Amino acid sequence: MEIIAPDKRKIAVRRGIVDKAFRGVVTAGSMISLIVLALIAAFLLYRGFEVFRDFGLKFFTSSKWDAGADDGSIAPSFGVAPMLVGSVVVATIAISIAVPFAVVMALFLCFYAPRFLRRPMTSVLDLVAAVPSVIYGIWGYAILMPHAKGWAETINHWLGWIWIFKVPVPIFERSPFIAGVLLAIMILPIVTSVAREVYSQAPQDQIDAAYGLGGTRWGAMRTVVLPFGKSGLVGGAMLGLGRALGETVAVYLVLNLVFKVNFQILASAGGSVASLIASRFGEAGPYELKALMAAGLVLFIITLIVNFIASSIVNRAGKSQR
Amino acid sequence: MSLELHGTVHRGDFQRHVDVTADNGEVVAIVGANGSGKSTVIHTIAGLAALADGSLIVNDTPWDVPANNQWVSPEQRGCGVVFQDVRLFPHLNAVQNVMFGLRSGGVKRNDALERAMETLSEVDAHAFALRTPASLSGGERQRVALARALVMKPRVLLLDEPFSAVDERSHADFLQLLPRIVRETGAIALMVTHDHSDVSAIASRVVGL
Amino acid sequence: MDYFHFDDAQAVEPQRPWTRRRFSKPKRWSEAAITCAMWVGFAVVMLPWISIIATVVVRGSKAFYIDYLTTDMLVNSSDDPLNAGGVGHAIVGSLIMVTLAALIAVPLGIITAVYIVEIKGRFAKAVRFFTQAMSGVPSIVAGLFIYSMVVIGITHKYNAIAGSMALSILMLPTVTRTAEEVLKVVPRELRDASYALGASQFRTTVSVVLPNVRSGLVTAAVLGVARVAGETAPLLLTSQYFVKFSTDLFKNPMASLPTYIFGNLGVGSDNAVSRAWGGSLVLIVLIVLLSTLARLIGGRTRRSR
Repeated sequence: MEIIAPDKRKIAVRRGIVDKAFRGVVTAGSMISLIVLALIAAFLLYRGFEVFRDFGLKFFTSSKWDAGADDGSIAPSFGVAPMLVGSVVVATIAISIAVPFAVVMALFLCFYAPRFLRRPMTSVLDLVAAVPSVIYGIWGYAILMPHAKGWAETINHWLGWIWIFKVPVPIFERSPFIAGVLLAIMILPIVTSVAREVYSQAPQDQIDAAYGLGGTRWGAMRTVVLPFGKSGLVGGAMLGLGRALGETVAVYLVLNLVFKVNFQILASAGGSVASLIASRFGEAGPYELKALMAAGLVLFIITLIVNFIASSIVNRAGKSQR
Repeated sequence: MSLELHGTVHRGDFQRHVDVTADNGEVVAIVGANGSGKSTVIHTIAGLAALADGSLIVNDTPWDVPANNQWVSPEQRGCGVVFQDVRLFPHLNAVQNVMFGLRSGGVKRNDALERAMETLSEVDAHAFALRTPASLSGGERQRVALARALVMKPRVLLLDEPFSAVDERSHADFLQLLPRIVRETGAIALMVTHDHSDVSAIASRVVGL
Repeated sequence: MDYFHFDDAQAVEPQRPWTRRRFSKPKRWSEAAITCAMWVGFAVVMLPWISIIATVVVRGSKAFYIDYLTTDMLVNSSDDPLNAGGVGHAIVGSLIMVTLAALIAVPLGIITAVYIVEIKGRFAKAVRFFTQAMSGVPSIVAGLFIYSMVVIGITHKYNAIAGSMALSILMLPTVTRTAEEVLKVVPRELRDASYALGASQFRTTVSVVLPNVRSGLVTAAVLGVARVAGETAPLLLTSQYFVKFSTDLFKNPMASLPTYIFGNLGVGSDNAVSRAWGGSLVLIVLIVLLSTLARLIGGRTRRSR
């Protein structure tokens, strides 16, 4: 209960037994998120620690993923370096495509769109944000890939002299580029929602002033709205990054997993920790399963850090504006 | 046996010193301009706002004495309150609203229902016992709110402009009813009002803010 | 953080008088170019979204025939012609698992929101923080966790219970955040009135606060359900896929729409892929229905106030 009290005064409330029990139960129940997070870390560590012990840092630096032979003639060897690098590469591509479009989309919805478009677009944003990733995946495989393959060929044709746009063999399907484009489309609704929320809180008087001074709408955008929304946008982008890093099925369907660290984004070879787990899970033996658990723990910790940073940025941005 | 409030009431940025005393069985009118803190006094006595300094002592029990860190929670004070903005529970119908306090105090459903209906008829509100607050007029709501406060047979009855929306005939009835109930139960009644005829009709003491 | 809560959906744009000005005479050509670029950007963004919906509807409807929604795949293979077998088992499985997940996540989500808003306990900030962190857990990690804890540790079998537990992990943050927003709407005056009538905090919460926002809480639950109905990765690791109608929660795997889509896609033949599109259509319709439901209920709460 909240009693309106003078600042310095502390009120010692004596509660009845019912309230004490009630508060106890609710407090205990609210710890569920903390408990689940701790349990996730604990269980993945428990199942995967053997692999960390056996491979140490090599688990992060090695490019070999080999379950070994059952008779022991080939020793198993696990390293997630290509998958980690692949996850980051794909997510980076996704973010660098999604953020500019999200900014344009948010500015459009806040300042440029005709009134009749704005409300329905809110529903559209919510709808596409709710489309499951498996549907993005099947669409990406069937519809996007043939198109994106053409774009990749064009990029390779004109910019092929830049190292990252080179391809060793001219196969353009299932590349990090295509996975990145698909993820960009997938995370665009979230990043747009955040950006729109932040831009809509831009101080109206300053916008009006800038509009009056320069006389152009774009001037007001550039001098007031964009700087104002910068930190919120960074937070939104980080949220999108977290999503992109953790995405499994959509990436699995459009990316060729290859155990070789690859930065050539148009080539048909990439990696993703989440997709690795999904693809190897079915046929994994007990030891490989442990390696997958270890990989899951790594993914969990990375996304946790990214999301921590994202939410603290978004929260701070939200606070300073209110 | 009485109510003694001497101290600084406090709500948000508003602060002011007040002295209110009332004896059992009497109706004390609180009058004053808008923003003079009349509602804050009601909230302070009900336990919804705390004193900055001074003391609130009711029937020899210290309800709120900041200096000694003494405090009684609102649910233990047993006040009956009619708020200025009425505050009926929108999800409950009239009789359920009246029953709410009794049920919270552990009264059995049937007994609570009986007492609630009795009280509703006392304030002439039994006709709309089963309607929701949203479907009632302002005056009807105030009657239900009055019943909700009276049904508890409170030791302290706090009325914040309780008759502002009732029609004139009922108003006259209430001016009869209220002093009678207060006398019978030996309660302390504090009434905030703008209406000078109210004051002269039932108040045995006037506190000006 | 979850941006699919109804507060967002209902957002009303602030008044911006100057945007209403007709943009007939651009002061500079660059201004016109930028406005043009905005429209182009909008179109470019809309294109894939429209394409996704249109493709799912067009290709998905090919898989439909009279019994598609009511039959399972027990006697048919994915490669069979499209006039046999169906998606019924996956619909039933999805409904069962999502309902179970809601039974776990909704009470916990509401309790967490009550802790943050009503009790305002010492750990309220921390609880919010961890709820936010939880919303960032990748779905495959949730699946892997339940697999290692429940499937390996307890049941030794893929089953529906494990699936719904994994889903509830993903559902909880959405429910909590929405419920929190909803509870914040309850005016302080109503709580005060309850305390003044002698009600305890327990009584106030259970009999006044929660009933007052009943429909908002239903919205929270429905949004949570919509959030997880299409989750694939965690189900691949926990409930897997099963070809026939099943209501067995413990001993058998259970089909679901996402794993039905994923499985058929894996088979790869034309008919199987058509089935995957059909499942996608069913799934999208389900999610749209749920979201619309949530909005209708949420809208009603708002108007009644």
